Amino acid sequence: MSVQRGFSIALCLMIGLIFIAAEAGANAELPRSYNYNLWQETVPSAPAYRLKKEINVGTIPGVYNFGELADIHVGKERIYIVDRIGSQVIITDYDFNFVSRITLLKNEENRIMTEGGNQMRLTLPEGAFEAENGDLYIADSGYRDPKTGEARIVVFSETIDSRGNPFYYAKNIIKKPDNFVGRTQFIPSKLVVDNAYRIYAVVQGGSEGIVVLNADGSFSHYFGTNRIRFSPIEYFWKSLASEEQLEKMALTFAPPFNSVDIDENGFIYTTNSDPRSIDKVARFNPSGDNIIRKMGYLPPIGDVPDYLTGDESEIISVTVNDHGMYAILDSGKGRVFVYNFDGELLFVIGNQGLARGEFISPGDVSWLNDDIVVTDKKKGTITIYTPTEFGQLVIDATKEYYVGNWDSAGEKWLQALKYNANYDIAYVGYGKMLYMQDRYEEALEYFRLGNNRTYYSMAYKKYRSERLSENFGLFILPLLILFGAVVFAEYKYHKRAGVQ
Amino acid sequence: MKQFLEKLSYTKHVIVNPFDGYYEIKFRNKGDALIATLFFLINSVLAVVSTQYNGFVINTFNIKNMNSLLIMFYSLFPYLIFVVGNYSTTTLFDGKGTMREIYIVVGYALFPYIVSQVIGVIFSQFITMEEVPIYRLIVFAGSAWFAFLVFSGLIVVHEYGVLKNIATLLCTVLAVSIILFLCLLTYSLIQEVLAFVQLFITEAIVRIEGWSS
Repeated sequence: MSVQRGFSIALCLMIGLIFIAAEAGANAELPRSYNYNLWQETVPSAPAYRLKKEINVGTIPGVYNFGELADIHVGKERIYIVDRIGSQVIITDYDFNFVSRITLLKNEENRIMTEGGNQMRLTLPEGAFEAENGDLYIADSGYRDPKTGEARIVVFSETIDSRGNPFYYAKNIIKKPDNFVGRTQFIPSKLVVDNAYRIYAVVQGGSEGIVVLNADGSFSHYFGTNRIRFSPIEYFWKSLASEEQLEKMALTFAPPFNSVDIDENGFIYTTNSDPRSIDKVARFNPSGDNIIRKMGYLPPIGDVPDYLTGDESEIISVTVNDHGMYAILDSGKGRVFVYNFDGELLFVIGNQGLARGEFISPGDVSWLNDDIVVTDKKKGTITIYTPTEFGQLVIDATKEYYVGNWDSAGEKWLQALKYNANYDIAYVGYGKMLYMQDRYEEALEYFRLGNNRTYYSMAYKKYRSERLSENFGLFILPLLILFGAVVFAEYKYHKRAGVQ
Repeated sequence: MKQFLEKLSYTKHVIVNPFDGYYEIKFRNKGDALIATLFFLINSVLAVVSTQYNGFVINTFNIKNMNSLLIMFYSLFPYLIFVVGNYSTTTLFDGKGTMREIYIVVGYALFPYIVSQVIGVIFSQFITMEEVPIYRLIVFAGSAWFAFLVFSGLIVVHEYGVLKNIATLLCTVLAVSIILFLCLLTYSLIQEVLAFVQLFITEAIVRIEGWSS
């Protein structure tokens, strides 16, 4: 008895050890990941991204006088790293090999430009954006114009000097336009440029919206505002207050944006981290309406907010790729949330911490092809995450679906399910393919597994009418028999009544 | 047994002719508290059945959090507390009904609601999103019928007018909330006493262990 017991204990221990070892191994390789289900519970997920590289910007050969990472922008061939404290923009290629840096404003003859006898240089820049024609727009946020006391945007373009070396010269300096209106101070921090070279600049503390400048640098209009949530109590008191009281009450301003990005179709994505704002991420159409899609279990707000403590994700950055997938960065918990075009949460990447691949004070997120790049202000590092097999399948499926290749998207989703059976979006994705192929009964099963009632209902409608038309006879026969029986009974009854 | 079945089949008379039916039950002994209990139990079982077996389109219940006993309890509790609350107010307002009669009124009134739930569970297997309102209508019809039966039944057993019945029903709401408040109070009190006893025992154990070593 005791021998047997001892043996079984030993066996249990061994199995336990194997599990622990496997767990530890798995942890070392890949971080754990999660997603949300219909009931807003966290569900374990296969990790979609793994750490590829962590680059310490200060140690890239060629970089010196490095201060603090403020912004990263991935252009068509170059990566632009904005160093705020070092007042420079570091330009690298896609493998983070140093190409060039911009600190001073030079003219086309490679001479340093001067203003009032001083060399003109970048001062605490916060944002950079590469336009369609390769021009680099830099928000020179720390600069103060002697006349207006406000900042400027500098447009750089690459050219070759007399010895054939490429360098960036200041093509254009955009100061506060003369026709500028509103209370907003012209201190741009993040900016994007659309195909018509209109500049969309997020200004610090600007509650009037994004400042839109025409290609020639004149002011066009304000664009998009964050809507805020009123508490019922606030609303009640405001409705009671007289005009004089209202004047004395603190005005509630729309929360300012903290980042901006533009997608291939010219839609502007913005984020804000104000707890009162309704949408954390906005997708503005050209007339400034927020048209972000919210088909997921949660709207794109990062983690499920804690309604008791009011603890919610602080979204500080957004990046969108050419397939409508966008990633947002939560600076509080150091997580990147990747959504598809419909606003369904695909992945959660990263964590807060000191280890490699974790963030202390994340600053900006950007797509680099399918990789995701995150900067960390405190660590001074750029972290590159690359998709795992599972992540790549999901990305490919999402892309295929986005361009309308239902069949190959469906096959990819089915493969993704082999890696992660908890992945509702994959079930729905495969179900959509089955639905498109008129395989409604199978589609039903996958929509049910994916917990999606809208698509289930659509598939069920088709399935039901199919079944009904197939078995029309079976369906109608009992009704006919019933009808006949009633008629017969009535006939007999009346006949008998007639006799009496 | 035969008498019981007779009384059971009398239910269909009660639900279509509530004034007459409840009168007969009160004065000619045509009803039975046992039948009311039966309906209560069926109703609570149906509550479990509908949470589990409602069609996928309308069923968003997280099956992992299913607790049948709790669901049964929650589906019984409101009715029973209503019976107690109504009895305690109507005794103050010259109501002629006894607790047993109120219990029978509510129990018999559940019958249409039970039927609507059965139909609802079956119907919900075959619906799409667009037909969900029909499902809601079915269940709502059952509930409305239930409410009407309770209302008319209370008029009969208490020998009230309509206005007085409404007034006592409003008072019943008050009584029910007082009962609930007292329940909560007792619950938290018991919890604290238990916590104290537990603390006391832990403390004692720790001390005794301290002495012995």
